[in-house]
Amino acid sequence: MGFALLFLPSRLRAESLEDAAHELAMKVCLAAHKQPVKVAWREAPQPSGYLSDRPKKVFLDQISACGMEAAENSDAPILTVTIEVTPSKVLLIASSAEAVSPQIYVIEVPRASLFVARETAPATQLKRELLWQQETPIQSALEWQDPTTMERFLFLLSESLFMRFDFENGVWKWMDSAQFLPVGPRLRAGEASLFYSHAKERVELVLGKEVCDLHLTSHFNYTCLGTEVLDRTTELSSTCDESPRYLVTGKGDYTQTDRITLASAAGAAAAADETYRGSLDMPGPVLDISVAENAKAAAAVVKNLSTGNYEVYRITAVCSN
Amino acid sequence: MRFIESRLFAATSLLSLATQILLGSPATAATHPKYGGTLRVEVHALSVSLDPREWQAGSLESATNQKMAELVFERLLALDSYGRFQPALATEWSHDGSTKRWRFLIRAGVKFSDGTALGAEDVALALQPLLPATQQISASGNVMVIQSSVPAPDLLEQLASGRYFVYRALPRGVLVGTGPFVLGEVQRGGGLGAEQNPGSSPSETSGARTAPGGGEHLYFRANQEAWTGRPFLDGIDVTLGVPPLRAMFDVQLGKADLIELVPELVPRARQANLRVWSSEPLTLYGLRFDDTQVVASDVRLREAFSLSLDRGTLANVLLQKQAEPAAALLPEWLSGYAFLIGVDTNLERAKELRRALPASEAAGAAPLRLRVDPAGDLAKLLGERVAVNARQAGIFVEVLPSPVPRAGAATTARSDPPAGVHLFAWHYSSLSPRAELDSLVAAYNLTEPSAVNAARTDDEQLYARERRVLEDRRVLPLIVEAESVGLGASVRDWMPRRWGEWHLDDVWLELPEPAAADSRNTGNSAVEAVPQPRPAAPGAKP
Repeated sequence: MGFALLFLPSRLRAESLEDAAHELAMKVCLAAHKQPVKVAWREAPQPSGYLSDRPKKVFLDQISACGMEAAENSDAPILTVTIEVTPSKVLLIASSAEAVSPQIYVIEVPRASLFVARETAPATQLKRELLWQQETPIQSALEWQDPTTMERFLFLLSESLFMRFDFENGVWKWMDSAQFLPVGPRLRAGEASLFYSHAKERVELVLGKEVCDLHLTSHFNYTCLGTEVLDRTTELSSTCDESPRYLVTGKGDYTQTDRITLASAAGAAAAADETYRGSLDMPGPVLDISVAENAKAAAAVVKNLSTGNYEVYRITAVCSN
Repeated sequence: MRFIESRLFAATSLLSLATQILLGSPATAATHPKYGGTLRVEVHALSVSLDPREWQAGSLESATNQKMAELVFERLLALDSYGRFQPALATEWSHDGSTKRWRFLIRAGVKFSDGTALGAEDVALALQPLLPATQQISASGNVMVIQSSVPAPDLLEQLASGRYFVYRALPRGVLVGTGPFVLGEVQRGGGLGAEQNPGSSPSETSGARTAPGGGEHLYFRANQEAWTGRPFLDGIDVTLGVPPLRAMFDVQLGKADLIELVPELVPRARQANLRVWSSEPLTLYGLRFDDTQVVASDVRLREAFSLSLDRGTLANVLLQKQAEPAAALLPEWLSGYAFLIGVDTNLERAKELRRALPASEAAGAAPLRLRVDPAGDLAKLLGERVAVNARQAGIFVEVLPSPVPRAGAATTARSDPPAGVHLFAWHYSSLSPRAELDSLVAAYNLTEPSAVNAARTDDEQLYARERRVLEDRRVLPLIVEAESVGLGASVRDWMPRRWGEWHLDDVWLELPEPAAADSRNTGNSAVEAVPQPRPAAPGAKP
């Protein structure tokens, strides 16, 4: 199937099997050709029971999101995902049976962390899911569900374009695009952004510091109000934690990988234990975060330093067990 | 398979316990652990060294040494059956972001068996000679720091296994430990004239105690001052040099409580309804080529030799399914990736390669000499079977016996002709697959491919390293073999680790009452234990 033999300096240790499945899928996505694969699951005979449906689903969803659909037909190259348990670690191993020189991708999870996750009280953890990736720069992204039709949309600001996608048959499909700024000098990070205003119950556009109302009718347009942003927040809700939690990022200079963390106050640095429990390593600098209208998910725009692509991740806060 | 057995055993025990609870009374009392009695252990080894500084990495002798050392010494931490690192002599540990600098807080209030207090300085002095040169230890107060010149993300796995015991070296080579037992005395042959460790009190442990003849006893008595609490057993009587068949009869006749079982006796022991426990595969048998015989330096010959090997027959017939064919140097349970390295057998291709060899190496030329390095019948049988396989491919092999009894893996007799290939045995001792591969590569001078950065320790890199070490076929894994033990009917709470640690400090004996006065060897007395919970180890902060 021609997995490219790339050296990938990515994270090798995860804290849960779902994380590991996600990380493994990302490694496979980055190294392999984007083509359908037949995924075969293999679990070491003992101790068994680690490979439940959840990590499998996370893995399949992720490779699907990056263009490697899981195929059932026998013609597709086989990608074997194996779970192995060593005295101190659980290993998730992806290997291609057809590669001339076998290349494997491994993510390890300390067994102790799985035990803790099962035994301790629920704790909020962040999860990420790749929604979109492209080569051209993305300034901002926002997921939104139309309250009347219940349709789901993904909005992107990409250079001077506003782009709209809807969710059909499990994938985001491009609907339309509109010029929201004259073609000219490139926007700098943070100059254009999308957010959902709870006060106005609508999606808004921020240009510079100015708020503009978006009109998402058949013809896209917007009206700038000449006012500054007041009610933009990164508060994310979680089913296992009633206290408010805010998404914060590091203070990198856009040449370093970043991490998204849950903090107890907006703009505050996360405490050490929060960093441990509720943080997500991202594959590059986080350029923008916009929380969806239901506050249950946020869209984070990241420039992947390994591929150079711009990626949109859905960030959610879930209970660890 | 083996793990299932132990789980089945555990499940059976639980079922039995539940039944006893439901039925009530007399059986219920029998489930309480009891103090007292001497556990009678029989091992094949003729000698034991309790000085970890002397152990040869990978040697079969080190397996017995380690089991005996676990009685008297402790490590900084332990790995439990659920993959959690548990505090032992260290109560907390942490590391920097690069995993090069590790800090350990040493447990307060622990005493060596000679009564002196354990300090971080003692730990540093004990571990420094055992650690690789890339790791330097410093100690201050109750804190010990290991500074590594390369990232050491697997340091905990290393320190929780193998020879990383904490001891205090006294003058005249005597070592003392903090473990649950203390080496009390040595008895020669017939058990008469108990001999104290020369120049030391019974509570001290000789650094290099060896017993040149068979039938000798080591007696370990319970350490009353152990910080973990007194073990249930009064003592452990270890008889060295017991032949395998005799050991099996002894446990069947009630003369022994715990014996080592050689693989060929395991089916027989099961048929005899003996309680049998087997570990994960812990010993690798393999071949390594040596250029001292010129013919062995030809990679085509090595490839032909490799393709001729019928590992399935070795494991399933010769070892009666008590071993597994091995294509990788590290076993599956340790590396997790061994399944990706396939066994390659192709007799026709082997013959083809053999025919293509130059005339000087063709049939009729000097045979390839195969020296069987480990002592014992099993290694000899394996060597002979390998020679049969090679001959089927047209490679004439002369099998040379082990040069000296119980020779180390790399030993060669000077007077013998040089051997082009050696059959070796390697005992896995580390829970760090990287450390284990490092030891194996160093011990046999295997080529470390320059294209691989040895400093990286992640699993992908380790897999790549192992593949490249195997690539030129200078080393050919054959089989991996588990360790098995037979247990007497009175042994309770046998809870070993699947990687071979016995944990005899948990074991107690269900003995008939009333007990005889002398608890040694014959009169195992048992006193029902008043619940004396051991001090709980405070949680570590990794």
